[in-house]
Amino acid sequence: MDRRTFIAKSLLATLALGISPALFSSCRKETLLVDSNFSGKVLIVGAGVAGLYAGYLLKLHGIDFTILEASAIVGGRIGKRTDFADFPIDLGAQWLHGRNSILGDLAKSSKAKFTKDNSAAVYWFKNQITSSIPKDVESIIATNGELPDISFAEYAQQQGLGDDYNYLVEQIAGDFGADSNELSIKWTGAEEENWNSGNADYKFEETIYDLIDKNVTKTIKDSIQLNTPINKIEYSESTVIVSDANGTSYQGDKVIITIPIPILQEGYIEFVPALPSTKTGAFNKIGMGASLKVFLKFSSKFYDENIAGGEICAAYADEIIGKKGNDHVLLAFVMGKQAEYLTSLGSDVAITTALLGELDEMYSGQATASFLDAHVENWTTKPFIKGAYSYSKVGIGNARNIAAESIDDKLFFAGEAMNLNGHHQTVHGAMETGYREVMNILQS
Amino acid sequence: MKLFVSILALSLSYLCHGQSLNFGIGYDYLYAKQFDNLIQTYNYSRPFLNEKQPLLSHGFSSNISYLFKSKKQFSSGIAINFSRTSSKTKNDNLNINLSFNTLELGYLVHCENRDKFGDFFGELGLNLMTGLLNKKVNNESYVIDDAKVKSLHIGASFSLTAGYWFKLNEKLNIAPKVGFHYAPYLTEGTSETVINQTTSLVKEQCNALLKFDVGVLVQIWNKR
Ligand SMILES: Cc1cc2nc3c(=O)[nH]c(=O)nc-3n(C[C@H](O)[C@H](O)[C@H](O)COP(=O)(O)OP(=O)(O)OC[C@H]3O[C@@H](n4cnc5c(N)ncnc54)[C@H](O)[C@@H]3O)c2cc1C
Repeated sequence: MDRRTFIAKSLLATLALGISPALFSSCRKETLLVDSNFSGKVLIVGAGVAGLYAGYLLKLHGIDFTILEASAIVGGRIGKRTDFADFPIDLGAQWLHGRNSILGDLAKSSKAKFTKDNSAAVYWFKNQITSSIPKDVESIIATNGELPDISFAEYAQQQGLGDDYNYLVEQIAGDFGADSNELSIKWTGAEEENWNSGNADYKFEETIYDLIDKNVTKTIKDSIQLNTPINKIEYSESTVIVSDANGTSYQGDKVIITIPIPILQEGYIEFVPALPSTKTGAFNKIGMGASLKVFLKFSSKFYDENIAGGEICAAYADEIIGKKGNDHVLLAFVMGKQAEYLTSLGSDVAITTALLGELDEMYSGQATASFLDAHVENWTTKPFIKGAYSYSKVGIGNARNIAAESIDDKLFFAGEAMNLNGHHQTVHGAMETGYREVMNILQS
Repeated sequence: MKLFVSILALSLSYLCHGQSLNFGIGYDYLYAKQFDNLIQTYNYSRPFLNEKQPLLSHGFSSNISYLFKSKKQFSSGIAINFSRTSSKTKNDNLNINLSFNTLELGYLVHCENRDKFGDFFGELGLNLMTGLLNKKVNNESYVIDDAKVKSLHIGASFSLTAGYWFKLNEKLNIAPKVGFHYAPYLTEGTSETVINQTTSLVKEQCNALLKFDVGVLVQIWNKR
């Protein structure tokens, strides 16, 4: 080969090598599942955020699906009421917990208005309102290093937080949807380490319900069937048969189950064949405490922005934060054993009276004097929700991982309790499990 | 700054003892399966974003190498290689700019045999590789709770480069070159947090990385 030919050939080779990345590049897809060959039917049990988001993605992939919802409304643990005050109230989830998440992205890109909740807290400590307390209760959960697998209450005692701190400890446990005697300090701490959406809380000028409704639910509303409580799932054949309490059956190739953990635990749905005992055992290791939100409307604002540590309700929050309006609404965010106690009073009037009594004690009788109206949203008594959100009980170990595993490539488990990256208990955590399971189905 | 100091040190040592100093620049093509998985999951899970995040593929690289004196067909030296690959999207209220910078520092074996291959040369490198995945959201650094979030990756890479010298004058040569860099394993870092805002949702892990570059190399001879 002479010098010229060699040069020409090497230039040609260089050019060819230069073009090859472009060719290679065209084989690499920007998004997953564009070429999935799944063409079956998917049934989704539950029209909460996880189910709705799964349906939304299936629709965009052109996959046939139906969402079967037990109750008469869509949204599960998100909801709103617009006629209680001159601004909309969130009956379920209301805070965007950190804006670095899929929900944050949806909010930003859809130009939903949301602002950081910078509200200040006061404490009900030793029977008086105070702006500071001697020991910081929240920091105990952020303790570095290996934590023992004991309850939050026990650990707080060990850390020297005596009886005076009981209801402040309860307030922190309540944030995790739990009774402090049940919540594992070890596993909650470990999950907190996975949390990566940010610690600041944001509130929407409208509601989380509106955000999901406008961007997700609207696009799939024709595929949602309400008043369809599923009580049997048969999955031994190649197709799955799902039956509801009215006796109607539905056939699908894959089923995504998004129902809250208490409904799975109580065995409302009969699985045929029965689920493996490791699976049901895992369900039972996940906790979900009682929960209610009581909105109290007053003629004047006598209260602080946040009051922590009450014996009846450990967390009150001024509902106007982040909203546009003039009405004075105080939210009593009641969780765990406090929610159980209030529920046991038996009526909304009794619940309201108990809360007003506590606020009267804190604010010298001003609560009853300026009380106008109340809305009690009891999530514990809703037959297809039965509580707040999942928490990690003492001894939970890797139960969430087992609970979230699919079965026979036919049953797929989503919903906030099945979130494995520290985002359970949240709306964005529920969305993540919704898309994860669609991904699992389309890749199966 | 660190790069500048390294360049200065190399140049000084070249002027004192050296044989040849090579400067290269080129187009870089990156294939990192783990980043692909993460970006694909991000795009698939957020269909509400009109513009999809492009995969981290295209970028540029620059490198400097210093070859020690040798009378044989093989000479050895040291090399620094910097490359940057980026991916940008513009969506309402959500402009994302991802960039992945790698820095390789390595030992180089250079082969030139005029009798057999004329002005053709080949280079084999063994490098320490560090990579930094960065994200900007609406032109601001990606911040979670006031802390900038980046993903740092460390590993080792092999590189293979081939080219053909054109002599410009006694002291200066120029060569078109092609090269491959393969890092079989890079530490995981926090790339899932940076790209998909989750921690363990994306199952498939593959921490290898392949880079391909095409460019030119300029060689300055001190003594031949
Ligand atoms: C009081 C409260 C406050 C909260 N605050 C926040 C907050 O501020 N920020 C935040 O991010 N998250 C918050 N959350 C948590 C958040 O609301 C949930 O994590 C999320 O909405 C759960 O969605 P999901 O789809 O997993 O479950 P769900 O919303 O519970 O949906 C499950 C659906 O399944 C249906 N279902 C049950 N059984 C059956 C059956 N047998 N057949 C058919 N359908 C069935 C139910 O009716 C329900 O609609 C709060 C929750 C509560 C209760």
